[in-house]
This record gives sequence, C-alpha cells and structure tokens, in this order.
Amino acid sequence: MTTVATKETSSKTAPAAVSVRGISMIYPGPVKALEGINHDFQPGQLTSLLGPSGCGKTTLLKIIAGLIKPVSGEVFVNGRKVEGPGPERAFVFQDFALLPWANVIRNVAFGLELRGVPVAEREAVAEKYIREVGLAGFERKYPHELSGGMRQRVGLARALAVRADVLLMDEPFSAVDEQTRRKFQEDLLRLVSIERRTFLFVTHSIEEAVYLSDSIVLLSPRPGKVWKIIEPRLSRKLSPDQIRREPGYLDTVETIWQNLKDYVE
Amino acid sequence: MSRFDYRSASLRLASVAIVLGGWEYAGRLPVSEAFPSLSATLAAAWEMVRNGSMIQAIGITIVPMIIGVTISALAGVLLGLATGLSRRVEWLGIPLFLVLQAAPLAALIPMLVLAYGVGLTTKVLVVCIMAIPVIVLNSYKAVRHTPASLLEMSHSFLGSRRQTIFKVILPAASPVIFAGLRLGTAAGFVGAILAELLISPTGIGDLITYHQSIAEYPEMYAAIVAVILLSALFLELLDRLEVTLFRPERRAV
Amino acid sequence: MEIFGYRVPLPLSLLLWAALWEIVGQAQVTILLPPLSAAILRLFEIVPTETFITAFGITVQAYVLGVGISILVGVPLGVIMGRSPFLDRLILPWVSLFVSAPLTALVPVIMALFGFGETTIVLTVVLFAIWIIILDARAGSRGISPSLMEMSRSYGATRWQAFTKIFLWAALPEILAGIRLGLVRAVKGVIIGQLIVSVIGFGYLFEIYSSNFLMEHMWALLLVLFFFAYLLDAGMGELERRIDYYSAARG
Repeated sequence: MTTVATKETSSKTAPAAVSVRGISMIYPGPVKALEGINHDFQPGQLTSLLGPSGCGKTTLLKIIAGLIKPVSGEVFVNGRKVEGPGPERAFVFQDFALLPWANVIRNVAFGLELRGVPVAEREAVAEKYIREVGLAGFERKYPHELSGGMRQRVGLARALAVRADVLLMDEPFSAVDEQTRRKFQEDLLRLVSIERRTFLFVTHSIEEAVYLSDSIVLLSPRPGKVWKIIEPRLSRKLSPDQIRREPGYLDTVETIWQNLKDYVE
Repeated sequence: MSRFDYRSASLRLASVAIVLGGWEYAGRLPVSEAFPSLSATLAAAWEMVRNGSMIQAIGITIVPMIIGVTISALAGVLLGLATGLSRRVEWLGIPLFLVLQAAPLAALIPMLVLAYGVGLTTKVLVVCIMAIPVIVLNSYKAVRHTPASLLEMSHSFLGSRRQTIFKVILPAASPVIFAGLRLGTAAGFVGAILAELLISPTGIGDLITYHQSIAEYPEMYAAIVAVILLSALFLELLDRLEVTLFRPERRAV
Repeated sequence: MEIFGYRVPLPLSLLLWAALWEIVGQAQVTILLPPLSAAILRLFEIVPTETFITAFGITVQAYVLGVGISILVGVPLGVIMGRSPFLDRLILPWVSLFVSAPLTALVPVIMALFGFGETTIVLTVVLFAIWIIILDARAGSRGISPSLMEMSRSYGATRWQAFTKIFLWAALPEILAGIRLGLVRAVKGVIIGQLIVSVIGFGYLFEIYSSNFLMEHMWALLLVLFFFAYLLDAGMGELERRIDYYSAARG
C-alpha cells in the first residue's frame, strides 16, 4: 500500500534503513583500518561517525557508499544487500568534487544527467534543490566564482537531486571557515527535518557531532571498532545559540572528549 | 579600464616598438648586407602579396599543414587516450613514443622526401611524424592525471565507463591535450618548412631559399616573418577552439 | 602491464617494436626500412670511421656550446623576468611567440648572416633551446612562495644568502624541467641546423647517405642520434627526480 507523500522528496514513504554486518577493511601495508563493524543505522535520522584520525570513519562511509570494497562483511539497505554504488545512496565529498567546467545547475543535475534524465526535467529538479540549499540566483555561475562554502552547497544539492534515500557526507564542512560552518550546520538540521531521508555524517569535531546528530557512533582508533553509541537528545525547540550553551549539550561534548582522551592516551 | 590595464597594454606596445625600432635601426647599419631593415622587409612583403607569390606560397605550405595537423590531432589524441585508459596499450605505446619524442625526427625528412618525392602526401606524412608523438604523450599524461576525486564522484553517481570518459576525463584532460596540440602544431610547421627548405622547391620554404640564393634579403625576411605570423595565428585559433568547445569557464577569465 | 600475472616492465615493449622492425625490414616492404639488424651492423661499421668521429665531434661541440649559452643566458633572464613585472611584460610576448614558432624558418637567416660554419649551428642550438629555458626559469622564479622569502628575511639572511640558499633551490625544479626540455630541443636544433647547412657535421653525412640511397647507413646514424637524445632526456629526468622530493612541499 502506498500513501501519497505530502512532501515530494522520496519515492518511498519511509526512509531507508542502513545496516552493516561484519565489515572489516585492510589496506596494503598491511593497515587494518576497520574490524568487525556491526551497526544498524536508524532510518530518517542523522547519525555521525566520530573518532580520532585514522579510526576508519571515512573508510566505513565509503564502504557503505559502495566506493570501497571491504575485505569482509556486508552492507544492507532496507534489508537488501548492496555492493558498489547505487541509486538509493548519494555521496557528498569533502573536497566538493565539482566539475570545474560546468556551471552550478549542470553540476547539481549531474547525477540525473548520468541516469539519462532529459535536460528540461533534470534542470527543473536541480533548480528546486539549488533553492533549497540557499543558492538561488547562482545557477549559471561556475565553481571558480564561488566560495568554498557555496561549492559545498552545490555538492549537497547534487546529492539531494538524485532523490537518494541515504545521504553520506564525508566531513563536508571541514574545508570551510568557522562562521560558514555554523551556518551550514543549522541549515543541515533544517534540511534533515524537511527531507525524510537517512543521513550518515563523518566528522572529527565532537561539537559538530553532538549538535547535529540524533545518534553518534564513536569509533576507536585503528583498527576501528564500534566503541560507543551516544544519543545526544537535544531539544530542537531552542535556538541554535541556546542549544550550544545548554548543559545537556556541553556535558555530552565533555563526556565524549574525556572518553577519547583516555582512549588515545 | 583600470590603471593596471593601461600599464600592461602600453608596456606591450613599448616592447613591440623597441624590437621593431631596433630592427629598423640595425638594418640600416652597414654591418651586413644580409640584414635588411624593417621598412625594406615590409615593402618587400607588400610587393610579394601584390604579385601573388606570397599568397600562392602560403597556400602550398598551408594545405598539407592543415591536413597533417588534423590527422595528427585525431590520431594522436585517440592514441593518447587509448594509452591513458588501457594498461596494455600503455605498455605497447608509451616507451615507443617517449623515444620518438626525444628524438630529432627532423632527420627522417630528407629520407622521406627523397624516397617519396615532393608531393602533398609526403608533406602530410612529414607533418604527422613530427606532430603525433608529442600529442600522444600529452593526451596520455592528461588522462592519467584526471583528478581521482572526480572519478570517484562519477562512480558514486553511477556513471558508466563511457559516461565517465566523455563527461569527466575528456573535459578535465582538455587543457593538457590542447597544450599537446599546440606543441604538435608547432612541430608540424617545423616539419613542413623543413621539407620545403631542404628539398622540395615549393611553398614558403622555397620563397625563403630562392630569395636567399639570389641575395634578395628583404624578400627572404618577408617570407620568414610571414611563416612566423602564420604559425602564431594557427596557435591562437587553437586556443579559441579549446575555450569554445571544452572550457567555457575560461571565457570570462 | 601483466602477462599471466607477471608484471612486464615498460621498456620491454621496445623489444617488441624492434622485433617488428626486423620482420618488416626482412620482408623488404619498403626501400626506406632496412632490417634493424642491418642498420645495427652498419652502425658498428661507421662509428669508428674518421668521418663519423669528426662529424660527431662537431655536433657535440656545437651542442655543448649552444646549450651552455642557452643556460647561462636563459636561466638568469627567466629568473629576472619572474621577479620584475616590468621586464616581464616587456620581454614575455616575444618569448611566448618564439617558444612555439617554427624556428626552422629562421635558420636561413642565421646562415645568411653567419655563413656555413659552426657558428651558425651553435646559434641554431641557442635559438631552439633558449626560449623554453627562459619560460620555465621564469615560472620557477614566479612560483616562489612569498612566505619562504619572508621567513628568510625574518631570520636575517643577506640578499645573497637568500638568493643562493633559498631562492635558487626553490626555483630549481622548474629550472631543471626547462633545461631538460631545452636539451631535447637543442638536439633537434643541432640536427636541423646541420641539415640545412648540410656541408658540415651530421648534415653532411646525411646529405651523402641520402643522395646515395644508403638507407642502412642513414638508419645507423639515426639510431645513434635517437639513442643519445633519449639518454639525455632520461638522464635529465633522473636529475629532476633527485630533487623532485621537495618540489611538492615548497610551502
């Protein structure tokens, strides 16, 4: 039975669930990046992968995206095993990965272009998401004319435009300045509430993880294992600035920080 | 127009003026009869255009140039792409082209002309031999240096191999490919002129040697300047082509 | 590339091409292409002869002289152009014009002015090599990170010290790259110069061989030239690699 979606976002009525079982990854070296990762990511929520450098969080994200083949283990989306990239997952790159010779609207529509969607249709979809990420008016600009923050918005719009159920974001805000970063975080929260999709987010910033996430997967240093799951449960009724000063928020950040310190030392 | 632009433009003008002025002055010095002044050269050039010898010579030289460069561009880029995209073709082709590129291929020219005569085919062949190695190597390098992040992005959005080649690798590679085309065109020009200078009494090369042999130096220099301007024109056209076809973001820059 | 799982090194493909050459040559497909083995035999025959050694000597001499002048004049000029926007804007248009112009066309000029001798060849070498050397030296000089220069000032380096200890080393990768390209162009220059002048050096030999259709001798000569050109290029490449380790991290 299907119900008509009130928001024209996903073709499915329920957001997708991502699960990983027994994921291990060994790089030539040999470097054991990940060991035995088992986790069920909650559908419709934003889950962060957090941990010190080298704990394999980006590796895990790319494995889920199908860009890296794990040495062992499986990835499931909505109960079906997936290998390699797929239309239900979209990736947002840390270094933006925009086509420098294409303007914003072409970049955002690129995923659709690769699927053979006709020009008029894909540009219409692209325009919608360009507006949604706050870049209205910049459709004909080229990447070199945009700031780092704007380029990342293009990357995000591109991932949204393919209507994937799962969005995988690899430290998307690490290449922009602090001000822009904060604004981005607030915008992302707004997006998460509008778009009923599953977000997986890699970051090395504890504050960012606590601020944004419904759930945080803390990974241990190499070889990365699932170490702790933390659920911040922040009240979204407060303003962004208020949240950042709320005791619950500050405590969570402090706890994670202490935990990491102990482990790293 | 900002102050900066004025300075830049006027410096350029000054530079040209200095060189041309120096030429005029040096040409009037009684040091060597073989060094005509700028004005004499210009006068000779005008005369040669008027009596048609310049136009005809340019025509004879340019036709094999254009044909040869077109063939070289197509064959060279295709070969270069193939070596960039396939390990097997890379193994076969790259060592060969590396050797060919460093080698003074010009040495082959007298041989070719001697064996196959002075016709259009030979000249086209000469242009191709001179141009193809550098085009192949540049195209190869361009493909191999496609940013990994863009390739990964295309893969993540389910781009097929063919789509990735045409939509990502080729546009990303185009600056270096065109750099190779520029070098190849220049080398092709060298080949065409050399063939004409050495043996075949046709085209601009012939104009140069003929006027040299009868000691008409202004005419000789006029022909040489014509060649250099011609090649500069060719290369400029190539630049425009690249920006129009592949890199629209550079139009404004 | 791999055959049956074993990595086959790149240069081995040249052996394949050599074998192909031999086969085609033996089949006498064209008069232009004698078997590789015949050319190699001739090579051993002509190299020890006096004519060859003289020609080789002339070539090497002109080459070394021409390259020397190109480097001694070109590198400083390029470096200065990189530091002085004024001079740069004045000279750059001409360098850009000549670096891709068919310099062959200018050789008759040199010949007309300086005669049929070695001077012309040397000047031809300079003509072919110098522009790219200037351009790359300029690029290296322009690319110096300002923070490196600031650092040297803050540690009290004299201008000479800053130049020799920091600046030159920072610009070296590009300068060497330019010299390498210049060396290759110089080979073409020394050959083309001799071809056009044609009464001395290898040009003379080529003239004799080609007019007598001594193809095997032609190819023997070509093999020698190609081999040395390749050696030079590879040698420079090796030198570049030695200093390449720091070129990416230059601040």
